[in-house]
Amino acid sequence: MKRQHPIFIIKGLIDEIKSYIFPIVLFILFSFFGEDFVLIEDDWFLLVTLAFLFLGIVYAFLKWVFFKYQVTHEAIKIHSGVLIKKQRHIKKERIQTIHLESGLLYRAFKLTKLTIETAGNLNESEVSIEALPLDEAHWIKKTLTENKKPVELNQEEVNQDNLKTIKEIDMTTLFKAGFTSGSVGIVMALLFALIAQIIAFLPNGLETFFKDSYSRLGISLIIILFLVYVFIAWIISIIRYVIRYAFFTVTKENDDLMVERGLFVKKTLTLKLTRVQSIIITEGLLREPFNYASIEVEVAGGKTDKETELTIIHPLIKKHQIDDFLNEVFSDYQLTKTFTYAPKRARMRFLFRNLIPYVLLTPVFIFFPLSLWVMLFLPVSILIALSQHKHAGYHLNDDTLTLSKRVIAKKTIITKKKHIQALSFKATFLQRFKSLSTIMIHILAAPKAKSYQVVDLSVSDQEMIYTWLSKEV
Amino acid sequence: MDKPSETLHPNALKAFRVRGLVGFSVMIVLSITLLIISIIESEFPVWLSFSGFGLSLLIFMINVIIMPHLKMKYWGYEIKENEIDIQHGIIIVKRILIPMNRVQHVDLSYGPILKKFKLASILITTAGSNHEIPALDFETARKVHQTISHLVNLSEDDV
Repeated sequence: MKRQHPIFIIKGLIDEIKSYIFPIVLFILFSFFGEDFVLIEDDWFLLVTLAFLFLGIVYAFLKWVFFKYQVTHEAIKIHSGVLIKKQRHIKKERIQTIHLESGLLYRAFKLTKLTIETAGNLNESEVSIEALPLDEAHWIKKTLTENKKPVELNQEEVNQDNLKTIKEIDMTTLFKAGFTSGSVGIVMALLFALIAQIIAFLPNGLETFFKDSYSRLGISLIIILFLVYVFIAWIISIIRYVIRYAFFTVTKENDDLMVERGLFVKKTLTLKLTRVQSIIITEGLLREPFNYASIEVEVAGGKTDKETELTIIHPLIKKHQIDDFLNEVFSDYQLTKTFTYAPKRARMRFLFRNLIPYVLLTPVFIFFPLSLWVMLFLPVSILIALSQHKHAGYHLNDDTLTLSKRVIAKKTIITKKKHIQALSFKATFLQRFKSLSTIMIHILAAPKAKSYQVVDLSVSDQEMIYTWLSKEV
Repeated sequence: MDKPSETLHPNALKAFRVRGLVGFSVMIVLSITLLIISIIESEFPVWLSFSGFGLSLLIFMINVIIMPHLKMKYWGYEIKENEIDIQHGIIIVKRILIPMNRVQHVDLSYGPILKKFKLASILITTAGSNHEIPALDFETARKVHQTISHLVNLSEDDV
């Protein structure tokens, strides 16, 4: 059995301090604002702090002492726990994904944190080893994901020739992807909340602030300020994206796909290609005009990427390159270009669905005629509705079902027959009247099962898909 | 597309009706209680109990008379060698196709009402969804349960 690198004691201590930092700050603040400065001036404060620090060090040390691991060809064993002892043996076959994650501290010492995920109950489904030397982590990963006997620690170059770097993102692409990521809306909301918080601290509050600035600055300045606000939000969203996705690299090794990314915190995610359940190609509103898309995969079992629900395997790709890329990674997935789309008679339904919000708003329009400016969005809604109709479709081939749909962004979902858990069709009274039907596929995904649906396809298409799936091999 | 061939057991009609009756009697008891309260306590509004009676009547009409009949008519299922086919729904018609080798496990269950009529319902779980066939007679349910379990065991396809 082996122990982690002693740096873990420091990491553990930092983590502990981190989790106490909020109450401590609160404590100090309160003692400052209190009537008398007892706690600060007394030696008590120092003493208590030192005592806590000492206990923290002891605890972190004990945690390090009691944490032991062992990797063999068949399994990994981990013994841990200071007071409550825990022993866990995970068989190699049960391992779903392995990722590496190194923060700044670990990177300084060439260490990493290795997380192993298994299928099963989400809370109990993962174990991690902190502060592992990088080369040992790679060796463990290789040993536990490989089918053959493990290579010795010192001969780690042996399998290097199977390694194939498929995609390394360059700076231009990264910024382009950040620029069009569409997360500017979220950043704007966060920024707004922050600004509102700051303004709330101003003596006259939010409302008077707006009234004042309006009367002082006039409408044109307000618009300029708003544009500046959008601009700043956009810059922040780009920075946020760059931090997350810098050094994005996809590497293929036998049946494993490795996705590395991150500017400060480097994340490595390994997934088994055989566990991929579906591929989702998304063309965001800002990306579609430039023929760009991003590619994600849905993987069975384990928690995949924690920041996003899906695992991105390509953040920004030209549409005509998708086929080559899929070929290189999967070899058995293709992007089709011939779809069977929703029939013409379905168009009205798409239009009506998008106009419902406006109809519901009618009473508001009657009582507050000023709100009629919302109607300016009507043409946009109609365009989206028409486009939704135009892109609702499917394609069948021997073993693959491809769905095409649009809510706001256009999505193409490619999945294999063997990965469809169940297929269902739904038709409301009104749909049956026009012989239309909604198709829905259920697939396995992490952290929970998912379903994708395409609305208002023709009933004859429903029959096509039905017979396609029921013709089991 | 043809409807799946099998329908629910005729006894299911009675079971659904009894189930509706249970709900109905709960409502009735509640309304009577309200009526009694309003008789004792003159300030308590009488219309509350009357609307309770009205609601009970509505429940009786829908859950005891109309729905069980429609359910019987619109539920269909078929268990073939390679797949399970289910159809249900009156206003929204739903058709479900589950390939046999995707089935993870099958649960057979019955409550007191279903038991009284010698019926059971079957819950089919795949890795991505749950589907129910309600109210089959005991024999069929057990047979379906066994068939599916057997077929599932035959196919060893991993996800």
